[in-house]
Amino acid sequence: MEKARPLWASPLQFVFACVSYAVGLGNVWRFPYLCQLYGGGSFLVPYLVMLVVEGMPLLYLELVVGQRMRQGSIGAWRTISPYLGGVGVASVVVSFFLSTYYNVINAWAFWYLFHSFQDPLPWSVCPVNGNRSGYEEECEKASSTQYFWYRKTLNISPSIEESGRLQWEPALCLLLAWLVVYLCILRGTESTGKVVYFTALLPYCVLTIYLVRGLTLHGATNGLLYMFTPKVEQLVNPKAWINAATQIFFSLGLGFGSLIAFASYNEPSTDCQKHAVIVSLLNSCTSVFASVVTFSIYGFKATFNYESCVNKVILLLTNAFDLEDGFLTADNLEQVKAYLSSAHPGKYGEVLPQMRNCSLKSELDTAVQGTGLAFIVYTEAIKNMEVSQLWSLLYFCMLLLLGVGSMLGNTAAILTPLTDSAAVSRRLPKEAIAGLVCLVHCAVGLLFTMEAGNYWFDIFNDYAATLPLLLIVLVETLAVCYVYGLRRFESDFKAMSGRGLSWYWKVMWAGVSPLLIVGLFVFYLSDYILTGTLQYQAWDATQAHKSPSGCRPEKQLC
Amino acid sequence: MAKAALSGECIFPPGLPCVFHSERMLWPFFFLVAAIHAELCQPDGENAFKVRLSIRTALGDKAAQLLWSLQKVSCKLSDEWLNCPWGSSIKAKFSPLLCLFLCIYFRYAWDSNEEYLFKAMVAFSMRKVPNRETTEISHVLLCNVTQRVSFWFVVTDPLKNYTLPAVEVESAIRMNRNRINNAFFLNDQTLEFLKIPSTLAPPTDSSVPIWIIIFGVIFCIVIVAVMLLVLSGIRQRRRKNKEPSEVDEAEDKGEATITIENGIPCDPLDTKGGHINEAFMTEEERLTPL
Repeated sequence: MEKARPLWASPLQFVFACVSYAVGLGNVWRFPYLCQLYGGGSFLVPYLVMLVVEGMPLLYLELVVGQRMRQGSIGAWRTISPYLGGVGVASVVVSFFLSTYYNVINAWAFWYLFHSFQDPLPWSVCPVNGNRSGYEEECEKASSTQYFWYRKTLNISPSIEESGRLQWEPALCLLLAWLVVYLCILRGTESTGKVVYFTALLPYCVLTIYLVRGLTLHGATNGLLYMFTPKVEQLVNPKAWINAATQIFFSLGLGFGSLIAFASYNEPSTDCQKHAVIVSLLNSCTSVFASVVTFSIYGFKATFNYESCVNKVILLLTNAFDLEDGFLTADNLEQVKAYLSSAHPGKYGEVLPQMRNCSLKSELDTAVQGTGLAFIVYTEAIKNMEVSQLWSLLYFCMLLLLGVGSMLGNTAAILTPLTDSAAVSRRLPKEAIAGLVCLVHCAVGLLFTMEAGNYWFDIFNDYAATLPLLLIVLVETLAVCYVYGLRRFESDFKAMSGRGLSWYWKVMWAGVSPLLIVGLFVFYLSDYILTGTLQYQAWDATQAHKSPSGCRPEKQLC
Repeated sequence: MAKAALSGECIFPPGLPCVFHSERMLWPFFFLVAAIHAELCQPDGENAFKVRLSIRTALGDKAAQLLWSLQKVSCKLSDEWLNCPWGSSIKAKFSPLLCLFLCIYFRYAWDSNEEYLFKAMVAFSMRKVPNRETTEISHVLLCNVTQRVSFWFVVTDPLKNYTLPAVEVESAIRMNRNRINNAFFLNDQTLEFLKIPSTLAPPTDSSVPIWIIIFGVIFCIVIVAVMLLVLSGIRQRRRKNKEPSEVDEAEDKGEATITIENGIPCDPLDTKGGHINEAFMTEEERLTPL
C-alpha cells in the first residue's frame, strides 16, 4: 500500500515556499546591475514583457506538472514519457551543482555576520603593518573593504592553478551553513513548511527597514535619479531584451526541478494558476524594490566618495598655499582654483598632478554585480552609516534568509526524487537521506574554501547552469505540448482540479515560450563559441585590483 | 575675495567666517621676536619643524553646521567677548547664549595664548629627555605663523646659541604626542608635525577572536536542534513500528479480512469523503513505476 504523500499544511506554505525559493540573491545583486546597464527605468519594459510572455507560463507549467504527477522531477518526467526520465536526472544534476556552490555564499554571509559584532567593523579600517609605521600595503592600494574580502575572507591566490590550502575559517562557516540547511529540510515539508514563513517574510521586513534608512541617507537621491532616468535608446538594444529574458528565467528558478518538487506536495485540487501569477509578480516586484534600496545605497556611497575626493583636493590646496583652514569649501573650489592657477602658476603646476578630478557621475557609473556588490560595495556603504554594526547585522541576516530560502528549494529538487524512489526510501529514513545529501554537498563544497576557491566559484556561477537549464526547460515544454500532447494534458488537468486551461497558457506553452528559449539558447551557444577560451578574473595582490587581461563581466547568479 | 584672504586682511563675504581680529595685533610682536632670533628659527632651517593645525576642521564644523541649521543665529556677543568669528552677516533669531555656549565649547582662535601653550607642551616634552630637564618655555621659538594656521618651531639650548638636534626633538614629541594633541582637542591628523611620523595605535586583539565565540554559540544551538529533531523522529518511527505489529496480530486472529482487487486492497482506500477514489489515482503509478 502506498504511504500517504506528505502535504503542505496549508496552501499559504506552498506559496511562501515558492516565493522564498524564487526571491533569492539574484533579485538583490543582479537585477539592479542590469537595470543600471540597460537604461534604468526603461529596462522595466523588456523585463515586464518577458515576465508575462516567458516567466509566468513556464512557472505555471512546472507547477501543474508537479501537482499533477505528484512526484519529484525524475518520476514526473518518466510518467510523461518513459523515455524522458533523463530530463529529471538532468534537473537533479544541475541542482546538485547549484546547491554545492550556492551555499558557499551563505558561508560567506555567516562569516561577515559573525564579524559584524566588532567595533570598529573589521572591513572599515586597514590593519597596521609589521613595524606600525603605516597600513598594510595591499590594503592601502585597494580599499579596506576590498582587502577584507580578498585577503581576510577568501585569502585569494593569484590564479586558479595555485589552489593553496584549505582555509579552515570559511570551511567552518560552510559546515555551519550546511547544518542550518539540514535542520530546515530534515523533516521534509513538516520542517520546511514552518521555516519558509521566516525565509519568505523576514527579508521583506529588512528590505523595508533598509528602504527607509536608504532613502534618508545623504546623497540617496543622486543614486535614485541616476537609476530611474530612462535611457529610451536602450530599448532597441537586443542585449537588453536578451538579458531581461535570461534574468526572468533564472530568477524564477525554472528547470531545476524545485518547483515540481514543491508542487508535488500540493493537494491536487489546489489552484496553482493563481499561485503562479502571485509568485512571479512578487518576484519581479521584489527585484524592483531591492533595486530602489540598492540605488539609494549606491547614491550614498558615490556621494560620500565624491565628497571625500573633494575634501582631499581642498586639503591639498590649503596646505600647498597655506590658505586659512576652512576657507576653501566645495562651493568656491572652482573659483579659487582658477584664481590660484592665474596668480601662482608655478606652485599650482606643482600641485596639479596630485589633484584628482572628482566626478559624481563617474562614481555612480561603477556598476557592480554579484559577490562584489554584496560584499564590497554594500559593506563600504554600511561602514559609513551611523551604528554600522546594527546595519551590518541586519543586512547579512537578510542575505542569509534569502540564501537559505533558495537552498531549501535547491535541496528539495534533489531530495524529492530520492525519497520518492522506492529503492532508496525503503532502506533509509528520510532524515538519513537528507543527511547524506548534505554531507556529500559539504564535502564537495570544501573546494570553494581553498585559496583559489573564488575562481572555481566564478566558473561554476558563470557556466554551470546557463545552457543546461535552457535545454532542460525547452525539452520540458516540448515534451508536455507535443510528446504527451497538449489536449491530453488539458484533460488530465481538468480531471485533477476541475478547472479548464486558459487559451493564453496553451498558446504560450505551445508556441511563444519554446521559440524564445531556442533564441536564447542559440544566442548563448554562439556567444561561447565566438568568445573562445573561457575566462575568469584574477585578483592581483601586488597591484590590488582585478587582472585586466581579457576580462568578461561576471554572469548571472539567481 | 581670495586675494584678500591671502594677504591677511579680514574679509566678510556672506557666510565665510573670519579669523584675523587677533592676528593683526600680533604681527608687530612676531616681527620683534623674529628680529631677535632670526638666525635660529627659520622656515626650512636646521632642526626646525613645521607644524600645521586644522582647528576649524576638527572643532568648528560641527558647531558651524548646527548653527546654520538653527537659521543663522548671530554671535555678536561671542564675537566681542571671545573673538569667535561667526561674521556679522548672520542675524540673530535665537538667544545669543546658545551661540556663546557653542563657541566656548567648540572653538578657539589661534592667538598668542595658544602659542604659549604650544611652547609649554614642547618644553614639557623636551624636559622628559635625559640631559634636557632644564628646557624652559623661552627656549622654544616659533616663527612664520601663517593664517593656515601653520608655523615653524625650533628648540634652542639655554644660552640660545644653537638649536637642539632634530632627532632629540622628534623623539620627545613622539613620546608625548598624545598629550600635546589632547591639550588642543586635536588628533594626529589635525595637529600635524610634518616630518614626524605618528605611531599608529596597535590593533586591540583579544586572545580569542570575537567571531569564533559567536560561531561557537550558533553552531552549538544548531547541533542541539538537529539532535532533537532527529531523536524525536526516531522515537516516532519506533512508536509506528510497534503499532503495525499489533495490527498484524489482530489480523492473524482473523478479525478483519481484506479484500483485494487488482492488487489494491479495498478497505484501506482513503476515499476522502467520496471525492477522490484512490483506486484510479494509484493505477497509473502502478503501471509506470519509478
